[in-house]
Amino acid sequence: MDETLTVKPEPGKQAEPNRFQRWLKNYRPEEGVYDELLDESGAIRPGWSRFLEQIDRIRPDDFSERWHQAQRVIRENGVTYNVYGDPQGTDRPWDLDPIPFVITQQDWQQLEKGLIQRARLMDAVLADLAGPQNLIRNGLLPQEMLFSNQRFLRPCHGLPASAGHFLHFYAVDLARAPDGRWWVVSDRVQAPSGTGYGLENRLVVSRMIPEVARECHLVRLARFFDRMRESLAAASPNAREQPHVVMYTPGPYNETYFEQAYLARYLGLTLASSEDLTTRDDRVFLKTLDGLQPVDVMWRRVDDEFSDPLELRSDSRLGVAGLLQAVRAGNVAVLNLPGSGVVENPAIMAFLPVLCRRLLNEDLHIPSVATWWCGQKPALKTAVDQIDRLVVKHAFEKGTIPVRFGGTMPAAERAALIRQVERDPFAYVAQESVTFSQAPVWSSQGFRPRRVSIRVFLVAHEDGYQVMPGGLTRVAGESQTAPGISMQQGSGSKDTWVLSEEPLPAYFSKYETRFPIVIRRRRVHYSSRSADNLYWIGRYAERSEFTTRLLRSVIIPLSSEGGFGSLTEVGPIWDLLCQLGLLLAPTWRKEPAAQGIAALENALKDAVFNEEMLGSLRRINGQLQRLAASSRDNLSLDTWRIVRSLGEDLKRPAPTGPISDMLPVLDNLITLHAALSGMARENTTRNPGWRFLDLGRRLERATYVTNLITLVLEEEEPARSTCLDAVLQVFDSSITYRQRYLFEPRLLPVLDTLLLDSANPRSLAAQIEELDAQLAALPVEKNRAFFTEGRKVTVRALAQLRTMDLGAREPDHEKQILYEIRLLLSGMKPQLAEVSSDLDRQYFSLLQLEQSTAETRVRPPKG
Amino acid sequence: MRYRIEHLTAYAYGQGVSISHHAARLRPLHNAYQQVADFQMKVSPRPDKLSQKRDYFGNTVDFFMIQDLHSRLEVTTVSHVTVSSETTPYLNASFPWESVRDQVKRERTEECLHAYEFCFPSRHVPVKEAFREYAAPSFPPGRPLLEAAMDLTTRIHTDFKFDPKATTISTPPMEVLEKRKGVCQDFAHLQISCLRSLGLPARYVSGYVRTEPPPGQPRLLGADATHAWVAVFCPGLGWTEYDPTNDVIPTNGHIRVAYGRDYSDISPLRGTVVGGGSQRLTIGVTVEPLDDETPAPAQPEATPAAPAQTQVQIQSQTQTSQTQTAVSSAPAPAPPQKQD
Repeated sequence: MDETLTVKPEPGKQAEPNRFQRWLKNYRPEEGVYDELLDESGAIRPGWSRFLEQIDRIRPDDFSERWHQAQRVIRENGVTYNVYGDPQGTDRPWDLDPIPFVITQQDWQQLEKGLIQRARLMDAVLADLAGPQNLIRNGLLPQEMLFSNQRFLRPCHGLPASAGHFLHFYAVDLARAPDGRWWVVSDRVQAPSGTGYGLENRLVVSRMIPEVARECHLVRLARFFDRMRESLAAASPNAREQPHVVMYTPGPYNETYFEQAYLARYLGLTLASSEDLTTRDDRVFLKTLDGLQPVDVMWRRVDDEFSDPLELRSDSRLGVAGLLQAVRAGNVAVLNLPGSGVVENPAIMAFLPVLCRRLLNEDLHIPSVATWWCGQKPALKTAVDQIDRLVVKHAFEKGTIPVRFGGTMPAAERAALIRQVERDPFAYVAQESVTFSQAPVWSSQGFRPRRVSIRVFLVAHEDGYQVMPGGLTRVAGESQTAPGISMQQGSGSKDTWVLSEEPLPAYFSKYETRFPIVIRRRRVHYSSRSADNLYWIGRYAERSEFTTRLLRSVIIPLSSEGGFGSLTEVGPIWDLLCQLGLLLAPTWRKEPAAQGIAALENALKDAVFNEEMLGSLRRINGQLQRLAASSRDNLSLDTWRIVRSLGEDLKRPAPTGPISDMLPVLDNLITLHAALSGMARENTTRNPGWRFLDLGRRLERATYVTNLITLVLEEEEPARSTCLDAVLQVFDSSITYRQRYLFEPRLLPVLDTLLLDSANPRSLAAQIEELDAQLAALPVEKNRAFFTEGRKVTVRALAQLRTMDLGAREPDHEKQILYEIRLLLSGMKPQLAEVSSDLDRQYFSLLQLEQSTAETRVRPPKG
Repeated sequence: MRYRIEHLTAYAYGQGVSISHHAARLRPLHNAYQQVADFQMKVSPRPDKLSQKRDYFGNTVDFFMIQDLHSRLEVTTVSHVTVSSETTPYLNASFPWESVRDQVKRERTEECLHAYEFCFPSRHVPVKEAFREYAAPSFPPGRPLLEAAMDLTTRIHTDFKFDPKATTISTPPMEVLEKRKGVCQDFAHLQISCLRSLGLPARYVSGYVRTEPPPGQPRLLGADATHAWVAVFCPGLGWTEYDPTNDVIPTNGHIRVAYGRDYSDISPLRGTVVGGGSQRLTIGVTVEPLDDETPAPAQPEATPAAPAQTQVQIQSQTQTSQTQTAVSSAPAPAPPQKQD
């Protein structure tokens, strides 16, 4: 370990105890712990003093206000971390502190050197274990290290390296000991996470205090992410000008899905889960609207044992059958290589110093936390003898036993633990417990010390490894002595600032200039899953808007002076709400007093706010929000913000006051919907994704017009006439009607406005026209002799609507017309269903998952 | 002894399969004791891609993929094999079992390193005190390893009832130990668990066994099936096999197909399909001796006639993801894959 990493107090700084009082007045560092901010004499360390100097120029109110804004951005951007088993639901908002972890470039470069060495070492160890296993033969690693390691996946043995590396992405968790030295707490090898969160932290904090970042000469991250792009492209085994790189994700329920989608968008990768991918002839393909498109490189975020159900875990639903064969055949690069989890364990730390000397002929720069792998006799003895001051962990499996601190355990429990370890020594390691350093976090009363660790990221490139200048600093909770080592354990985070002495020249991304510029008018790959998701977003958005409108049109008369009596004006709307399952028993229309107004009002409140209720607004909007969350790579930030508001606005108890209190809530939702459809109309490129979004919306809306008008026609006079006003309002067509007809709403003119007039954007005819136009523009519709089944439907329906004539000259004629309209409407429902199922056949049926076949049970020779 | 072995595996699917991938370990091993004169594998419908590799344990794997819509898959292999494993070792001439245990752990010779890997738990083979306890009476201190292993084999044969209905493919050995019932695969996993719980190297062998028809009756075609047994390592002697189902040391009545840590390493046919719905699996194996018909002495006793084909009805465990197909008149229910 280099002595230079211990920061010596700068002379002269000590004499300023009163500086930065605003920040430091309540900062009481804990004794016996390395303090990142203050040295032993209480002086401010060099990097931090530069930082404080700058941040001190911001007025206190201004800082609070900026931080308030930044937190809002985090919430609205939906930066989340999914915590398995969290009762509050899967999306936990990202917890960020506005004060970065500060380190000088000089210190950082020492650290970098050590981390690069460690990455090279891990790469060399992996190369050996995935191949000749000389480390085992020569006794540098005990055989049991490999053989008892459940993450040594035999089918992955012998897989070839990509671009000369077995290890492409690597992350290290570091802690600083009381003497100022850095220690490695854990290695992340198989699918390291956190880069994206680190990047998002940087964007939020550097936007919040840009002048501080500038004046402190903050080292930027852009060059690192360019290297990452280059590294991904360079791993491609296929000679293609611009290799097709996908982010291979376990899907929206994964803990770090946000980050995967975020990085995919930032780096321009296709986000693909197992449903999106398939293998043919030992090649990997993405399922797109234009058929199968070859994939060259996969950034793997699926755990290795789940990545191929054909050769690894057959019960995996996250894998791509045949993936390992494709890698073996040299047709695709999977980074990190499946099987690299074999070195992601604490046990190997005990052997790294020796391995480093032997494999790299160097001494290990940064030590690991002192580790004893109990599989060796002397180590087992140490573990047992010193269990009071050690931590016992599972050697190879994460999270199977809770980390145990020998010292704090009752005697009987400790004895049981020792027996357990002695019985199965290979499975355990003992580690010295780590004292993490402390760094300041912000509070309205000034800085407070909290324990921190930093996760640093590395990416392979042709000359070795590049370190992300910064990283993800994780912060322990108050009075905790360690931040959660796994992100599952939930802890706060900080941006990590490496400060350069010199001002930094501007950096312009050089990545794109490597390739000749090709003008494109369409996206290179549009995955079928993206289209499927957008289609459902369209449907749920319309479902939500329409339900809101229905509910509003019922609540308005109820909260008027007419009360119960006015409900006769909304008969069919009420019936439709019953059909949708939102209101029970339409008997109120016969005997309103029997149910009572309170019951009625509660039913309506439930229809809006009750999440348990199928079809309630809160539920629909929640589903919409979840769908949008899994389409983050395809939605603009603004669109996401609107969808999020739709979901979040209803997450509160129903108002207890009069029913009219719900009207402003519903009005606000309608406004948000207007914004959402405005985004779709004005801010979305006319690509296949937009078409599917629109198709979903149109199909849903066409269904609603059809259903509501059907119910109107079932009404008897005079109710049929009195409800027309409300029906026009549901479809936002009152003004249109009034401008054309000077009399009260009458049946035939209303039917024309809502069904046949394609100039009215809410009419049935308008939906069918739009459906027809969208279908005509889809890839499958081109290059074929006949229309698809779906298109046949829209063409026919359009002709039917266009040739219908509602001009009634004689009273008898009206009956005839109504008969025809009923016929039209009853035929419309199955036809719309046909459009939907045809879309399914044409575009989404590819998305079926692979399932394992029943395995042949070995049968006996007897019986 | 020369054999002709025909092995059929057929899947009938409830719905069409649009693409399937399979990995087959159906080729008999070719080594000093067993020579494969000919091996043919026929897959119907015809696969689009066939490839081969040697797996980690040295077995040959045949991969194939079918991408035409199909509702039935048949894999038929025909092997011509000569087995020349006539002799059984002198059981009492082997090292004491403890010294084998310690030597395998200590030495880093190729042979011991290879064997040592088979001392550790694997997916179907837990290492537990209960197995050690069951095995203990066969392993008194100092007893020659091969003799002790034979004793364990005989005890499993005696203590456990052969019962195909008692267990499934995923029944853990612990449950088999409690129930004292199972089939050859269960007995093999159980015996391996016992041996590894004592720290001894033991592996799983899949293959075929020749069964003799009852006296006076013709051989039943298809009566035979794939079989499984175990092998134990002893330095200097290599791997010695034991068949706990039949209480014999396999010689030339057994045909070896693959070695692994347990069934999951060397399952004869493994696959994934897209679509398919319910699956119906049929297996038929015919082991036909080509030399004279005198039964080998160490063969299992005659057994009642089995049905000509073994049929297993298996409901697919994973539902295919269904996509919404209809615009419902009441649009409240969400499509299955999008619901919360």
